[in-house]
Amino acid sequence: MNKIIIGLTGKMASGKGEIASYLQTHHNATTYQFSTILRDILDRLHKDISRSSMQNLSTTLRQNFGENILASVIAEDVKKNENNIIVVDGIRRMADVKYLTDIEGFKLTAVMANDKIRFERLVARNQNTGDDKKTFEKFLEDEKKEADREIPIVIKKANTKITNNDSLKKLHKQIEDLIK
Amino acid sequence: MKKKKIIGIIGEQAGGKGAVSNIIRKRYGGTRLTTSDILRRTLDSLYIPSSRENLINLALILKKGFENKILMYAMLRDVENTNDDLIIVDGIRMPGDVEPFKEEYGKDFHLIYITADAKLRYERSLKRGEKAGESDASFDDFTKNGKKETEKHIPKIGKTAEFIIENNDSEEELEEKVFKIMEKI
Repeated sequence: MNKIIIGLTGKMASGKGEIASYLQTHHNATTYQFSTILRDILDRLHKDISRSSMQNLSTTLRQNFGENILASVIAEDVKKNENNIIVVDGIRRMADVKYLTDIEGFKLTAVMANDKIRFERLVARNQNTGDDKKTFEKFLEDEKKEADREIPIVIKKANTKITNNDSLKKLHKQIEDLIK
Repeated sequence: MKKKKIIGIIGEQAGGKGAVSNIIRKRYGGTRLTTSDILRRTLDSLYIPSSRENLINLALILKKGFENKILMYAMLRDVENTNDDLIIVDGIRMPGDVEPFKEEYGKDFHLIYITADAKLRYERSLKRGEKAGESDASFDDFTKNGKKETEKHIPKIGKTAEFIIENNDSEEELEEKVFKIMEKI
């Protein structure tokens, strides 16, 4: 089977993590996130792995080694990895896509879900402090912030779209179709 | 477990820090930890070559981005996690680097300063090519490196060390000097 690299993009709580997790469990996929390398470095420095440390490290590295340092690192890691299925989760900027597009087998996949459904999932999982107290308005506002602003543009560029408004079973079927 | 003895090594580029570590470990065992290791592994993960310049830059940007003592605190944690009663900490360079170790280990921390003639150190660095690009550097480049932020305080801190070794002679003489010091420790 040829190597497939699935690049996941999508708004908050659309289901990217669920897809990455499914592929890991059922197909032994290797998953990469931009935060992985940040976590490794912070770990080696024995620093706390908090959102603010990661943000700080990301900014520090980008300022000194170029805006695209993390994207180019993931691209190198992906090229070296000999696994058949690789997932790159959390693509947010077109600049990041540029490095991955040239790799053979790369499929940019957008994960879509209704705003209301995503909001409910976010509140239910309460992953980051304060998520359970967010209002729907604040939720929509947060998506317009710097880090997530380009996501709609990346979504438009995707070759494949997965819609995740229903059951897990329906989601899993779409994932299986994706990697055929 | 016996109490840990920590030997801190400070010295200018290519002065003989690595050589001293090796001499100590050959006779007494022990684990060697360096700040370069932390920096080098980080550069490797970023696919950036571990030239001396990049190592110095990474050290500086991490200190600026987080806190000045970030590398030394990381070293301290590595020392804590190392299961050996003799640990060599190589890479002490800046004002403030020594204090965390003195605080934590008191009399069980010993600082050794290794120094040598600048020209001799330059020649040695050409021969060994330890860091990317080292064997091609000019004496000018070599001296310039010595003035960088992470290098320029070394002589001053070195003067305060418990033991000072001048490494201008043969390897055998270096060995003798090291053994004399280790007997005292």
